[in-house]
Amino acid sequence: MDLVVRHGRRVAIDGISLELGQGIVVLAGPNGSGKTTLLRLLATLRRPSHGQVSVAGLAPTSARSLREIRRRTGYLSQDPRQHGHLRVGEAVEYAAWLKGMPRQTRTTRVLEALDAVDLSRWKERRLGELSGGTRRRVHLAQALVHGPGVLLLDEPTTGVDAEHRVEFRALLRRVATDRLVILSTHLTEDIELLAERVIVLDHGRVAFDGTPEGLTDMGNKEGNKEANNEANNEAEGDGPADRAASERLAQGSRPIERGLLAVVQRDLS
Amino acid sequence: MIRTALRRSAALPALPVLLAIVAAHIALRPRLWAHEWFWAIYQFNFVTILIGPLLAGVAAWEGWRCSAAADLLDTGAQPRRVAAVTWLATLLWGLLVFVVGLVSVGIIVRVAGTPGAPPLAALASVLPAMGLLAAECAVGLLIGWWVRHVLAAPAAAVGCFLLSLWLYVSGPTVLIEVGGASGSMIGVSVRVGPALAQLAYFAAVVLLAVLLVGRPRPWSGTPAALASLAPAATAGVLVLGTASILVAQGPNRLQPAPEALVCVGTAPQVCVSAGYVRYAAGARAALLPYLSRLTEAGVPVPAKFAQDVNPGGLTVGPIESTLLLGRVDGAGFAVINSYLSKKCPIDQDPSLQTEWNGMISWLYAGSVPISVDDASIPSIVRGPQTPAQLAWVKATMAHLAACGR
Repeated sequence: MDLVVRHGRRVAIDGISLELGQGIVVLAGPNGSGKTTLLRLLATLRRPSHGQVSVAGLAPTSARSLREIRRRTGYLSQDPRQHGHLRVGEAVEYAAWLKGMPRQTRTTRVLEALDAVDLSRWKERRLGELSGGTRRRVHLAQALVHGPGVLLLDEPTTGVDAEHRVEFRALLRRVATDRLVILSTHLTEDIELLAERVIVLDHGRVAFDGTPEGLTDMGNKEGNKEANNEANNEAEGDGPADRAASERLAQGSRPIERGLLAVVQRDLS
Repeated sequence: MIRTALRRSAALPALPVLLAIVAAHIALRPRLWAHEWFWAIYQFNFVTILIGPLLAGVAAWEGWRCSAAADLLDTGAQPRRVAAVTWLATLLWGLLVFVVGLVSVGIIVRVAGTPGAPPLAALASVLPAMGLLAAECAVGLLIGWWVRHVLAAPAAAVGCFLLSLWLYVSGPTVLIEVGGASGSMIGVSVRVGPALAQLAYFAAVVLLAVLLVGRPRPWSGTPAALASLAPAATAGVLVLGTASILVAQGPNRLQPAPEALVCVGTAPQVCVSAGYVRYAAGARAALLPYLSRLTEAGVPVPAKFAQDVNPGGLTVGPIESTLLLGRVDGAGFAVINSYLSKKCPIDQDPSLQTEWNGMISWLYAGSVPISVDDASIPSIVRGPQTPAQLAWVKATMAHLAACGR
């Protein structure tokens, strides 16, 4: 049975099988294509209707494995409205505490995480006073602070202005050097500038799974520049043309063990 | 994280309001309790009815904040600790306000000249009050977490207040009553059983709410999900169990308790607790004319008036703190009432009321003007003193003293 997730009658994920390893994996696709659901599955916030999820060989079905997966993953949701009354340092320390980090190491790790996102000097600022982009960096520091092997970022560059987006991408590249980063995006530049692997979702199915170059090649093979543009714009648009492009690109997908969404990175701790 | 939770608690901006409520509760009501440690503390405990709902609202605000960050919390490794720390931070601020009020009451009692220190039983009576605050904080947190709306805070505050009122008026009051007394508490103390049951009940409510808020969110339908419900279900059973025990113990939270009294004078001897000693002589002087009148009429009078006895002792009469504190015009009433048993159904018996009115009228004749319905006074009392009138007085007092025995 393939991996399926239903929201009531609507099918959010409709039969996918994926193995995810190292580097930056970009999930692309129009609104409602299943990107967020896929990330929430890996973050253990959702349960599949059919199929299995596995993170480093652990299935989130027992309290212990669930705790272990949560310890090994960092999740940044699409709209992290949280604790605007806290200061930046406190918010990151709070996240570290939530992950069960001991007090002795917490202070150091908070400083490291703030340093990683270049926010050390904002430590005493209130979260509610920050711009969207800076707040996004704080949330990234929260997701990073416990040193997770897998980072799940739902539209991390949304709401960040163009200038800060460049910085943010550089930051993501830095943090992805020793871990798996799975991020969803609407933006074609994110695919071009960040992705080592692109998974295009459409209507809960994998429409493309390969390298960014492969995605471009697929478009070129069609010999139709218009189709290529459609594919690139797919992430931003959600009309019939986007879907047509997705279907064409689906030929490039590479199915694995059926019904399994797996993070197979070896050293996640 | 408790320090951060305390520093950033929503209770901080609410502190001035909480303190104002406590101050109003102490300052704007009569402070007759200032001469009794137990009464003072027990009466102060009533403030929980006022600040408890407000704390529930503050906790609901915190619960709403937590629910807004649900993704962060749900992917964390210790949701129970989050719930517990959030609850505790709100409660600690609430308890600080409560303790500030309690200390203020202590200062008032000391300034009023009441000797000694608060007895252990009086201090122990604050535990159920604190337990109630803890329970209301936990319930507020749960409401905020579940409702996931900013309006959860006022809804929780108003809801808790209305529920408290309803329980006071028509529900089992033991589920909510932790203090409050309009009269002297000399000769009584808190029953240990109901107090412990209350503590257990409030603790179970806290446990249930914190476990529900801090329930790890594994995937629904899995064994882990079912297992995560087990502690909350156990706490739910504890809530029902302790509530049943509490209700079964009955509404009376107080029991008679011997009180060390200091006695002043003879015939009558006036025995009062330590806080009233300096008022005893004045009260005795106020009682004397009325006792003399009764003695002249051949009515045996109590040899002793004491604070810790029920009315109708015949040889020992009760003395109210109001009389001790200067309401000397009430001395005649105190004398007559000392003959009446608590079991005497005077309110339902018009003939007894007529006798009582007649006696009061006779006792106060020519001294202090009193308001007794003339029509209800027997004609024999209205005229000058005659042997027949004295015989009526003697017979009436004997009748009143025998009532309800």
